[in-house]
Amino acid sequence: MKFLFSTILFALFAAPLASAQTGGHVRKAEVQKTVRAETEREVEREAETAADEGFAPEQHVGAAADVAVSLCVASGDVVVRGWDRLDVQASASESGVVRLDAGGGTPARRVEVVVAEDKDASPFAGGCGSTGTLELMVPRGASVSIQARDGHVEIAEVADAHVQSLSGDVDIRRASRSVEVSCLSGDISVEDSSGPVRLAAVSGNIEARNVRTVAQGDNFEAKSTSGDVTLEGVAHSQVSGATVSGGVLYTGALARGGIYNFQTISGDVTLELPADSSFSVHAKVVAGGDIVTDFPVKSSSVTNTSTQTDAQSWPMPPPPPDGRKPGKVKSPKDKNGSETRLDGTVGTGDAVLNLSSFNGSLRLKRQ
Amino acid sequence: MNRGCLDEAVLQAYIDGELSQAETGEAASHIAACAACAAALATAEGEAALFSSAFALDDSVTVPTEALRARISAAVAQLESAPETNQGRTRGWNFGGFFASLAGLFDFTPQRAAAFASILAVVAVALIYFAVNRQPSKPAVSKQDEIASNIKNTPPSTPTSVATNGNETNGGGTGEITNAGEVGNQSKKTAVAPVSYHRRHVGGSGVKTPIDKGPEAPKLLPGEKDYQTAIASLEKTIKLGGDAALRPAVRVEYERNLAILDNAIAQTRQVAAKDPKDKDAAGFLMSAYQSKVELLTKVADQAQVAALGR
Repeated sequence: MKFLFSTILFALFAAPLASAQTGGHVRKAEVQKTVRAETEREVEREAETAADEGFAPEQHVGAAADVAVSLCVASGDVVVRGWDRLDVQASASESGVVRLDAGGGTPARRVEVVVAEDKDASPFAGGCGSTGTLELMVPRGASVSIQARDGHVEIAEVADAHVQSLSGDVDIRRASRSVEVSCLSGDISVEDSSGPVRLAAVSGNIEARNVRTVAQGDNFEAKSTSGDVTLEGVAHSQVSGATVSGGVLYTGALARGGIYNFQTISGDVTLELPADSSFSVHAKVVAGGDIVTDFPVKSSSVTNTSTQTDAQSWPMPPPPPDGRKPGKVKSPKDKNGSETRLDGTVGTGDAVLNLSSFNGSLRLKRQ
Repeated sequence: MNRGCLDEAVLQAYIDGELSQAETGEAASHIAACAACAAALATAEGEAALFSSAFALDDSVTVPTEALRARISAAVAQLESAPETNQGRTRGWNFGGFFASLAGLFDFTPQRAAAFASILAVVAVALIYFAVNRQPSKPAVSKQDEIASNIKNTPPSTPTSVATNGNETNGGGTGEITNAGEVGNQSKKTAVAPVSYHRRHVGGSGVKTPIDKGPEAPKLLPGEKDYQTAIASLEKTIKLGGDAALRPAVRVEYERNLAILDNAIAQTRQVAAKDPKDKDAAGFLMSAYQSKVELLTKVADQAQVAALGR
C-alpha cells in the first residue's frame, strides 16, 4: 500500500515538471518558427511594394531650395550636381532604376533616393541598392547625404555634402556650407568649398584646396591612417591634420589668430609658409626624427633642434650641428635624449602652430 | 519526418545543450544513423545560428524595420498567451496551473504511457531495493575525513595586505589586470604590481606574500583598458559579419591599416611604459588606440549590414 501511495505521489509531482520542460523546448521552436515566418512575409511585402511603386530609369520631383537629399548605394558611381531649378532629378544610366521618396508635401523638403538594379531587386526601404551610375540634379541650396559601399562619389555645387564611403574616391567641389566625408578605402578631394570641413580617410589620401570659412568658428579637420594629408589654401582659423603613418603637408598663408594642430605618429609634417609668416611654434618629436626650420625662430626652448637659414631641396639633408639658433636649450626630457622640442616665435607670433610627431620629422619651409 | 525520428523540440534541446548526458548520447547515436534527422538537425542549427547572430546586432540598424519588429513582438506575444488561454490557466495561486498541467496527464498518448510505465518501473525497483537492503546506516565518511576533504577542496584563500595609507590595493583574486598607472595617480604612497592572483605591496610596510610565478600580464596604462574593451567588442561584431562584410580588396586595405595601427600602438606603448609620466608618449598611444577604434567602428558598421543581408 505504501509502495503504491509513494509511486502515485512521485508520478503526480514528476510528470508536470517533465511536461513543463518539454513545453519549453516546443515554445522555443514555435517562437523561432514565428520569427522566421514574419521575416519572410516582410521581405515579400517590401519586394511587392517596391515593384508597385514608381521605379523608373529617371525620376524627378519638385523640391524646396534647401531640400535634404539622402541616398544609399551598395554598388555604383554617384554624380551629384547643383542646378538653379527647384527640382530633384535622378537618372540611372547604364542599368538600374530609381525612385524618389518625397514623403508628402510640395515642394518636398526631404527626398530619399532609392536605387536598384531592377524593379525586382529593389532593396528594403532605407536600404542600399545597386546601380550603374546615378546622376542626381539638386537645387544649389540642397543638403546631400550619401552612403556608398562601393563606387566613386562626385558632388558639386550644393550647400552641404556629407558622404560616408567604404570603397571608392570622393570628390567634392564648390560646396558652399559644409563638407563631411569619411572613407575607408579611397581618396578624398575637396576644392573651392566653404564652411566647416571634416575629412577622415583610412588608407586613402586627403587633398583640400581653396577652402574657406562661412562663419566664425568653422573648423577644418583632416585625418588619415596611412594616407597623406595635403592642404593648400585653407583659410580656416582652426586647422588640424593628423595621420598615423602618412605625411602631412600644409601649403599657404596662416590666418591671423589661427591655430594649426598637426600630428603624426610615424610620418612627417611639413609646412610651406610665406616668407613673411608670423607665428609661434610648439613642436615636439617624442621618439625619433628632427625638427627643421627655415625660419629664424626666437626660441624660448630648444632641445636637439636644428635650424637652417636657407631653403633646402627635398629631401633635406641632415642639419649641421652648429646651425642652431641661439636660445635657451632645455635638457632632454627623456633620459636617452630622444625627445626633441622647439618652442619659439617667428615675427610677432600672429598664429599658433602645434606640431607633434612620435617618430617622424617636423619641417617649416619658406615658400 | 519519418516514424521514430526525433521531434523538433528534442532537436532544439539537443542544439541548445539542454538534454541530459544520456539523452544527448541517445540523440547523437540516432542522428548518426538517421539521414532525415541529420538533415533536420543541420537546418535547425543553421536557423539557430542565423537568429543568434541577427538578434545580437545593434538595434540602431534600420533593417529589419521597426514594423517587422513590432509584428514579430505581437506574434510572439500572441503565441505566449495562446497556451494560457487554451489550458484555462487562472491568475493568482499557482495551484490552478498545477492542476491544469495535471489534467494533461490523463490525455494519454503512446509516448506518455511509455514514460509513465518507465517511471513506475524505476520507482518500483528502487523501493524494492531499499526495502530489501534496509539496514542501520553507517556513516560513509568519518567526520575527520569529511573535514580533511573539505580542507583539501577549499581553494587557497587570497592573502590580503593592508595599504600603508589605509587604501586597499586594486586587483586580487579575480585575476583582473592591475592598472598600476591609475593606482599611482590615486595614491603615490601605494605602488601596485600586476599579479595573477595574490595582492602584493611593493615598498609598503605590509608583509610580502609569495606569489605565483605565472606569465606576467603587461601593465596597462591609464585608459588602455577601456580602449581594449571597446576593441574586443568591435572585433566580435566584425567576426559576426563574416567575410561578406568587405570586398577582398577592401579587406586587404583594412588589414594593412590594422597592422599599421597595431605597430603604432606597440611602438608608442613601449615608450609610454618606460616612463608612465611621459604624457606625450601616452598621448600618442591613446591617439593610436583611438584611430584603431575608429577604423574598427567603420568596419563593424559594414559587418552589421552584411550580417543582416545574409
